[in-house]
Amino acid sequence: MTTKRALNQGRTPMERMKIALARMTPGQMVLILIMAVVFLWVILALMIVPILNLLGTVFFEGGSFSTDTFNKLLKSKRAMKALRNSFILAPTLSITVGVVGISLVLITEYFDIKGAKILRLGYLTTLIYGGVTLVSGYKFIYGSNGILTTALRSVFPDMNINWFQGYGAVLFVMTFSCTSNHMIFLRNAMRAVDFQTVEAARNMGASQWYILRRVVLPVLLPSLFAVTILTFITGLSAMSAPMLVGGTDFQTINPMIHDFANMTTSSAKSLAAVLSLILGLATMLLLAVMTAIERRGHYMSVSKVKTKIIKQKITNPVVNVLVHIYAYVLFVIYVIPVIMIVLFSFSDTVHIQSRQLDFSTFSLENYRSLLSANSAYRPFVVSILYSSVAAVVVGLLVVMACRYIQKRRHSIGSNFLEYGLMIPWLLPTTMIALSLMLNYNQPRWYMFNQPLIGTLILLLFGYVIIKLPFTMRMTKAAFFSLDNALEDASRNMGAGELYTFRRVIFPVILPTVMAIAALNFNSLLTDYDMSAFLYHPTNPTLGVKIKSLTEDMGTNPNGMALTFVYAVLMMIISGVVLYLVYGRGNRDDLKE
Amino acid sequence: MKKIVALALSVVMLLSLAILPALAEGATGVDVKGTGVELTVYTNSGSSGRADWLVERAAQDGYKLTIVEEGAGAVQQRLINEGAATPCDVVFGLNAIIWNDLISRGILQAYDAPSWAAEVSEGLNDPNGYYYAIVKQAILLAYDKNQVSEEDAPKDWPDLWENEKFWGKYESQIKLTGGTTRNVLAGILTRYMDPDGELGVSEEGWAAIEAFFAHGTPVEDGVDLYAQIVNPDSPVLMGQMWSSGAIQYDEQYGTSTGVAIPEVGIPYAVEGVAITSVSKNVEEAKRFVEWFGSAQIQGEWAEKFGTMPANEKAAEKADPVQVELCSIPAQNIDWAVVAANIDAWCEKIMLEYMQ
Repeated sequence: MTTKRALNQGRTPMERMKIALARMTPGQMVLILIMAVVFLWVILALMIVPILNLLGTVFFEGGSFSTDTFNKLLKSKRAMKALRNSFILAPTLSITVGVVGISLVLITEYFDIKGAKILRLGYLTTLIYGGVTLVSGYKFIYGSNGILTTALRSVFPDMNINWFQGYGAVLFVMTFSCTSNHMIFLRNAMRAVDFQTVEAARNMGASQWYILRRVVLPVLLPSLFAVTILTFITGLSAMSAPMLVGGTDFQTINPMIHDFANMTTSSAKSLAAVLSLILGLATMLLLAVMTAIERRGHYMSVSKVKTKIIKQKITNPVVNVLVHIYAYVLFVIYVIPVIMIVLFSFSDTVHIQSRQLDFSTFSLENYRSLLSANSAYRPFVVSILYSSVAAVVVGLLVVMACRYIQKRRHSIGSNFLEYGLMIPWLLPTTMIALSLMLNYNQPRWYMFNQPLIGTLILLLFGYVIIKLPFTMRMTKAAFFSLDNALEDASRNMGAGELYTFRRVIFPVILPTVMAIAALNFNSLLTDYDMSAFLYHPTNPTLGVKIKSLTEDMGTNPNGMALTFVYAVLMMIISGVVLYLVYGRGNRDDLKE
Repeated sequence: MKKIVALALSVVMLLSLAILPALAEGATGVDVKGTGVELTVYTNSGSSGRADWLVERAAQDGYKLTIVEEGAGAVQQRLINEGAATPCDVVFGLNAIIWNDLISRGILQAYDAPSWAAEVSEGLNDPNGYYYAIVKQAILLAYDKNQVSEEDAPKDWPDLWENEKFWGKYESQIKLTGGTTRNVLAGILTRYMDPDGELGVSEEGWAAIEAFFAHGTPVEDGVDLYAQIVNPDSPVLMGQMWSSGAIQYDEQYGTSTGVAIPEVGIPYAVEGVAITSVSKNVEEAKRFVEWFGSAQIQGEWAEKFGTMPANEKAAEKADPVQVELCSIPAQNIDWAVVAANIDAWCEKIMLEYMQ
């Protein structure tokens, strides 16, 4: 490894590529060639060409570029305020979610807290639901008719019942709902902390706080960088929380982008494009900064024979009690919204809308009317199939890409791959869907001369594309925290490259890859934005079905209640999928 | 001998089955049977079991339908972006604004009026024959008569922002993509058409829209109008509503809907039926349109789903309250102009006037 690095010093990427080529065996060359063709095709045919095509029609409709769009936006107080709010929310959310997320991982994995297993289940609830459903769950508690507000009101009759509104409310809801990634990826990282090092530090007289800061945290850093980027993006593109609890004072930009993207004129679409490019560029900037910091550091655990962590009892009794209280308060905050959603799914639309929990309205009618229809099961099958196939395809593509990047850091190819696969973060899902439709409503030679409209594969392409950036970022983090010594040892003992990958590298990253696949599956299961435009006529997805329940001029008086039933059914599916993934993980524990 | 007669009879029966569609050429309305050619139908009016019902009912008369069902805006975008590759043969539902947009983009073809077109209320069919009306929805300014007396209620939309007593008491929209919202905006803005004004609307018109949004209480996302009206903690007492919605919500919330009856009339969202310009099954599509819009089928549809048929012969099957709401005169609106401008109008409102 050192010789190679020395060899590369002071050479241009071009020269390095030549050297790399000269060192390859014919087998490797064929492999690289196949990979190059696949990835070039994915990046060019599925992303760059359709998106440029769309932006072209949007910006240059009259044959020349017009700056109207910028003027309109600069003139609009509402747009500017919303943009500012988004840029306030993203960094503050990154901090609050970071703090809460780290504390969750410490509570469940590091410190000895009574009932940690139950607490962990509670904290994991954000993995099985999200979006409008989740925020509605919070409104059942804190909203103007919510149980907490009603209780407070009986004590303070003059209180403002709309207290849960604005920036604070949005930040509160999103802080607790965006810790999913921390619970998965930081937890995986926490398991890489070597207990012997912790013990050694303690024997040398280090305090618990010092150990946390200097031994534990450094191991968590690569994952922490990655999940922080995700939180930042989530904050920038916040949608349901501001819409539902932001009030007039704290609306963010994404709902506006979404509305513009759904209008048919190119003028509206260019507004959507400009606004989302602003968000996309901010994301890319942060990504570049984080990547630079990451490259500078060396964050691997130095221990070669890791021992599993033994949970630490908090030594200071006062702190111990406080941490327990904190842990259980968080538990309550996490769990009650889920319970509310399940309860309200048995109620009717009128009571859901007025947020009155009235057990006399409870019945199985919603479930019966939803599940008794002949075609009820079909969208479930369609969505489960699409989501699982897409999750697997994305996983495979990205693992291949990351392996390449890991082996050939700083080469032209790896930079192209890394940023190429991030492209979907630049535009909202709706516009990516439109770009695919617009580009493939006619035969293209690079799509084997087949128009894709009305085919089953079109939606699969869409699903794969929108999940590439997230998968890429998280998988890369897993590869980064790999111990190079493992690979070197395997190679030194004469194992081939493929064998090393299959038997040494892959098993180590598998838990993370599986977790990402499960997350992708869960989020695709409820997708509406991509499905709405690309779904195959006879195979509508769940998201499309659910959305049709609450359409304007809708025809179903009980539509709202049915969306809750769907939400509960999807919680069950998501829960089962996560159990399967984590069930695997636990079996591994037994083997240790 | 018996055997021969039986054989002859069955041959005759088989023959008559085979030539039935051909014989039906002279037939009209519900008697026009399908030939089994598969039709792909796009609609925004397929939820709550409508799509399933239609597929089944049509199959009884020999039509083989595949229905794509989603929101009006999504149907519109799908048709625009699928272009010539669209598998769609027939579109039904939508509203005049979207119909006119699709016409201007060359997505629909004009076709000879089906026999029932003459039975449709005046002014609802497309004058150039691109779509024919099947269902109408009155777009109303609704309030609850239990809480607001008829004398105290607004008489027309401008009352809401011109009369201080309504300020904060009506809902103003936070999304401008819905059909109801766009019809309301069209009903207001077309009163102020001015070729010299911005986007064809006079300064007075924009001032009206600004006041309309400034003095309303913004919609709480996920909570419908009637939930706000019955909630004693909410200031909202009135807002926009479509006619079949008013009936549904009255049943659900125990309200008693009253509506403003403006002198200029009210907008109607006209659901129609049309054939795409690239359809490869035009003959079958025409047969289906003839069958689907007939008084018989529209009557069954109205009875089953509480809609207001545009076909006057089918109107008797509709809910009497619905009939009454839909007897308010239609506002005179040039839908082609609205279709050409509505996105630009909404864009301006979203950027400048919404709260």
